[in-house]
Amino acid sequence: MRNVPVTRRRFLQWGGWGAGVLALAACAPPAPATGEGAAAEPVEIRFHGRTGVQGDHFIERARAFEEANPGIRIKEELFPHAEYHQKMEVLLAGQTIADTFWTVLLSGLYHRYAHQGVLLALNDMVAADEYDLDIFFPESLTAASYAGSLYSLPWICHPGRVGCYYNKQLLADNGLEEPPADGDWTFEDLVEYAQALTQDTNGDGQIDQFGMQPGRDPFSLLVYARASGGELYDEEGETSLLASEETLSAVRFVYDLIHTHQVAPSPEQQTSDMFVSGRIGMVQSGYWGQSWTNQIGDRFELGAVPMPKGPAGVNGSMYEFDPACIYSGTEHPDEAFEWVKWLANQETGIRIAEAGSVPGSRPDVWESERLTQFPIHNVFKGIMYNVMPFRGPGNFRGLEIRDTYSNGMDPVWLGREEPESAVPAVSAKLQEVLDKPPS
Amino acid sequence: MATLSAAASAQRPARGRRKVSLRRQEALTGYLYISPWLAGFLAFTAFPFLASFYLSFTDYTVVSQPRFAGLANYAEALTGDDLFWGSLRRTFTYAAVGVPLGIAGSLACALLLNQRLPGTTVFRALFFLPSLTPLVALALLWQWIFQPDFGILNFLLAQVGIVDGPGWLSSIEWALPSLIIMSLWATVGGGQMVIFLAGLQGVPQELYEAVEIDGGGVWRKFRHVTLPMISPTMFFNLILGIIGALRVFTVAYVSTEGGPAYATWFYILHLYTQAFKYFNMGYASALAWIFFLILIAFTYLQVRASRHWVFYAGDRD
Repeated sequence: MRNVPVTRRRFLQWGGWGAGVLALAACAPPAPATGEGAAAEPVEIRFHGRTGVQGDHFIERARAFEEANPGIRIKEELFPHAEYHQKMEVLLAGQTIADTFWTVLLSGLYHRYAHQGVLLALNDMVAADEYDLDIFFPESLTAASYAGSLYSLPWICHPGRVGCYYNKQLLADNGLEEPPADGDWTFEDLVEYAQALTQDTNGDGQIDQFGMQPGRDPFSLLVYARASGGELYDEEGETSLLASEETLSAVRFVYDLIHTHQVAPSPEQQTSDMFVSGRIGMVQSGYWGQSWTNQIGDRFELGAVPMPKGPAGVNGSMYEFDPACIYSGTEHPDEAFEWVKWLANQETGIRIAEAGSVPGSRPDVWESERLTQFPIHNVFKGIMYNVMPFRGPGNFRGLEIRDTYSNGMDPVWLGREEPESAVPAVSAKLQEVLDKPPS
Repeated sequence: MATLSAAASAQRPARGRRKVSLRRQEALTGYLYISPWLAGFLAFTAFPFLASFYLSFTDYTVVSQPRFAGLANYAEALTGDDLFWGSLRRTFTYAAVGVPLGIAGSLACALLLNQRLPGTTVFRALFFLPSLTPLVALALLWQWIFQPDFGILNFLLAQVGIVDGPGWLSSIEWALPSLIIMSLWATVGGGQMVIFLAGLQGVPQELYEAVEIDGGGVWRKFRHVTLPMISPTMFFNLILGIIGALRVFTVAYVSTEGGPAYATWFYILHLYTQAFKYFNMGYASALAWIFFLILIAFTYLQVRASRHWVFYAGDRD
């Protein structure tokens, strides 16, 4: 037998090449499962959602789904909200996005994905499965459809930033009755309440307790705008209506709350915990505002009514829903559809509301006794049956619209400019965004 | 003899071939060793770098395929984007104010901590601590300090008679200065100070003694010895400080999201927003390349200007 000397260098070379080969082998895709054993393997459906309350809910519902469907396994891949859609885009670019995922309506991304062919149209599957779409609020199906096709099953929904939450203790201390639970009150009533609640409690000449905190984002403004007969854009989402007479009057109303009546904190005065610490009497928010109860503790009791009627004689609202979608490139559309149906079922819809988010997009969820036992839920339930439709930018540039609006309106909310002088310029900027091609 | 020399000459080429082969083997081994880094560099740095150059000439929204758009993205940035010049101006303002203050503060700290006094080591560690704070944590912490109603800054201002302190981060005028103050807290006493300390400790003591013999005081020592001798250190800190300041992003992203009224909408925030919020990847790539060229040009100008004020011991008379 011939002895072949192995030098240290050669040994290291072989080791290096061996490690390289192993590394390459590790990068190779797994071999397809074959044979009898593989047939018993459950199909894996990947799912993207947000971390937090919703993430915990998804995990709980996934395990329940797997128990009811032993042939399907759900693999949750949850991301924090702040980076959720960036991750989605990267996964899309790499064609490694999950079979199913959550997305949002307001950013425009849902309709963008539908437009770009990312989402699987569900019409054929719904028909083949004889799945009853009448279980959903009709507005859900309108919002979930794009160019005549249904691209998701509605998961959760709410009527927008339509709640006027209030501190029952403060109202009682100031001899104020609670506003009407059916929403039959007016902008003028709101100002009167806010004026009564705005006080310099320690006599130092500074206001320590404000009456009302309106939202300053475009969707909060929309509540005032629609109550005034206005809109942010036209029906096609192609024309900015921010500077229309009705919408401008809504901006003026919010501006007056802050700067004329001085019953609402300006952005420079506002802090995030003013309401829960008892320094604001009333605050505008959505269904999710109920979760303040945990922060408030036993300091005071939380109440809520619909935001008041405006000059148009109606309560403003906008239907919003969160869809459960299927990726058009999924290899398991049938199993993905089963999971999406599970997310849209009644039990899931009730459980997500019980977990602290908002209810499922179906009347039998909103009417469930498990939810109607909560008075504030019933306030929002009443609005759901008269909710105004969703309207978004036609080119899906919702995030760009939001940034343009927020930065453009800052001088107004800060009191640097009057609405009548600033809003036309902001509207023109919004129009520039709306004039861009679809994103 | 002739036989021996023939044998020797016959061996020479063989030995030469062996040398070449060994050299090649060593080169191969070397490449093998650096191959993990090389693969990472090619995949995660060089390829994205070149890809972004290509994408800067396309209309690319991630979901769709890139479409060639020529110089449209560059033209849009330079002539059609309202936020381009504004964000560039804000970024340079931030750097123009923040970098000199940061360098002056770091140098002052280094001079203080360069004294041979008891407890100096402890103070060096204490001064360095803020720079270890992650930027996100720093931004969140300073949101509380800047809080108009109960933040400690306005509380301290009230103690000296300024009752209505500014709204800081929510004020159009004060948001940018707020972010500069925030960055100074982390910069002064951080890495720059350590580099200055190293530079100060390299200044020959005999030069100070020479000034003393000539009757010079503290100021003359600083002006005519310390400053020239640490000018290379100063130049190094200046280059890194300017590049770092021009890349400002995190504090604005976390604290103000570019607002109010675009008051803190910096260039990199604009780039990031275009890329990862609006998904205009082609346009964002063009913004990145414009910024790259600006940085290159700016650094080149600084290097050229440094000939007039940076003193390298041994290079000059």
